[in-house]
Amino acid sequence: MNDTLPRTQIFREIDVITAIEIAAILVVAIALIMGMQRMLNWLGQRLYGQRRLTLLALVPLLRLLIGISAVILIVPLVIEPSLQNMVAVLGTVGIALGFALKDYASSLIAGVVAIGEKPYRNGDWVRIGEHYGEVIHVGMRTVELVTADDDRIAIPHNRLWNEAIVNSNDGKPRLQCIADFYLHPEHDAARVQSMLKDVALTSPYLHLDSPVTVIVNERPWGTHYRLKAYPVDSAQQFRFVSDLTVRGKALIRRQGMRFAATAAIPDSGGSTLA
Amino acid sequence: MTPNDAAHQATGEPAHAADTPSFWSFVPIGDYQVPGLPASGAIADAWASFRRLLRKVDQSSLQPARDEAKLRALSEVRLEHLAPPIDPTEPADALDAALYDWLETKSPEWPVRFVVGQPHAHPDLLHVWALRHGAAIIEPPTSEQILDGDLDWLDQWPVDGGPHRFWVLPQLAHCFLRDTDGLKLVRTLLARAEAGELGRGIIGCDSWAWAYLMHLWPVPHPGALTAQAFDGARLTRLLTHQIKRRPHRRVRFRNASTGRDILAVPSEDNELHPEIVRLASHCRGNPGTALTYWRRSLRTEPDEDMVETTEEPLTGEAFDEEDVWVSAGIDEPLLPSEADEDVALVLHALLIHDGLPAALLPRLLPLTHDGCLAILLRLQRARLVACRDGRCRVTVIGYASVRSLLAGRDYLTDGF
Repeated sequence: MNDTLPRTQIFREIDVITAIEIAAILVVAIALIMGMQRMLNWLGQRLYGQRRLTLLALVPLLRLLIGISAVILIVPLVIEPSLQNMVAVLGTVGIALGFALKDYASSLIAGVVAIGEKPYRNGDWVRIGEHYGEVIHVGMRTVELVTADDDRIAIPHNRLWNEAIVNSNDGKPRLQCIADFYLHPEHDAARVQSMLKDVALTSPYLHLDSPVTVIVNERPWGTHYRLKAYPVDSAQQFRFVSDLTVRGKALIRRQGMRFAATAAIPDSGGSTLA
Repeated sequence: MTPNDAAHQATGEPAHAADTPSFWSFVPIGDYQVPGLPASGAIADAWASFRRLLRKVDQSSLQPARDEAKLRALSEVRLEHLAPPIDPTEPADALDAALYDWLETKSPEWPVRFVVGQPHAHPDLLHVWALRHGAAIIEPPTSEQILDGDLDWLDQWPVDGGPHRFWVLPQLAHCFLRDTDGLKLVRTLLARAEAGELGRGIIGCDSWAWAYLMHLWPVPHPGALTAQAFDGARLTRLLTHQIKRRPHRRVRFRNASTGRDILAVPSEDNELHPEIVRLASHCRGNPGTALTYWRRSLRTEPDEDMVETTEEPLTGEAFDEEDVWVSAGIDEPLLPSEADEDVALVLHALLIHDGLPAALLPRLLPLTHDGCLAILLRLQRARLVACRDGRCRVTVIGYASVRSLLAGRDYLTDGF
């Protein structure tokens, strides 16, 4: 008798009806999550710009809400809903998870934090460690990227805790692209700056309402130009940079300017200043 | 036209409602007001867009929508009577009014005035205006001259002191190419024209080219003019004005699906009918595209064309009635929402240049020659692009779809 008392105080008797109810809630929640993910991703593929990003960013949030709703519905069916019971059960579960599935639990919690803090959202272009790609799925445990080489990479959320996340567009449809040009130092830099601005203005991928800038740096081996501009859509970034490079290179060649083909190696031989 | 009338029209007020079509008025670009929709119409339009988004369209075919089957399109003769093309002398009158002070002043503040128009809004306006004022019409440079940056083209300009008081460059969009070699000529032209070195003149520019050129030549142009949008009221007056009817004959335009009157001429009814408001909003106030949609939506019973002229003339206030049916749906080619990026690039290039020779597309876009030709062929078959006189342009009936596609993808659009 004494052995059964604590169990009956914390857990309810689970009969067949309750089991079916729990199963039904789980099935409905899973179906809702899968249906919602499919529908929003499908719609997202048909939209562009900010509307697409906003829609895709809803996916993990809605999944979390459905998951929490399912837990809220299931817990009272299993546990007598009192404060002591909740603390006892959740504390036990927490300790068990903390010891046995530390990394898994850490990733799950980081996934919830990621939904709140939004270091990445679906449609963002992010760099995590050495990986750069578009976020295509923010899951419970991992975030999935597709790289420019079409590789799919799953990265656990728990890298949020101790690693920098570089987000190139931060929920906006545009991100800055940079095309590099390396020229022999003997040339008119102001003219090249103006020419490179025209290179950007003539690219059909350019988002014309965003700024175009050219940064010039003098190096020992020549002059380094960085043409910074924004494409119409972040997905165009690689084509945009390619187009800028092709146009810029052709224009510079037509103007008879020389590229800095090789780095000048300082003479380390016998010459002396004396 | 007197200065008084001119002042009235320049401010957009009706001067002589009876004899001068006051629905045309030219206003500064910033004053252009895109016609809106009542809430119910906006919801209906949003729902239609959503349904279009959900509908699976075969991308390879780009097939146009089907026409209504039961009624027949009107013959060209009847169309010429019921909805003839816009007579360019009417917008030319309004432009005269808007430019009255500038024309009369010997040393105006601005040596050149810009007239910006949406695609297909008022073709030939500046040619008519130039003929009326004896102004020299400047032909655009060839594509070779543009790409070579050939400034000799500017040296042939008829400056003050010549036989012409003014000059008119009807299409600035044909004076540049979006290529690193294609911008020098237009920049020099704008710099010299706005400095007054080329004398006094009018420069016409397509609204898309204008939007692009304002990034190349970011100088404020408060004096640039455009035709005010044709909202529901103006469009009703334009459509009424266009009809060439016989005396004692009332023409009733009726909705083909509901049978309700959309427009009756003559009529004492001043009510704005939602179909015309929706048409004005769909065309964003562009009278050229609105009139084309209107012409394409007119229908008749299969045997009605045959009995058109048999009635005896009536006297007094009695009217013989002629019914013309207006198709409920707008028959326009639709682009599937999945239309690929290359298609968008081609369409955008065509709009920014107010049409392009097909051979120039591979030079301006990062696409192959064959790729450009294939896209152009698809767009031609879908009635979105038509090639005439060596230039491929977005068609009148395709313009709204194309604009909507490009705006939806965040490409630079015109300010209208």
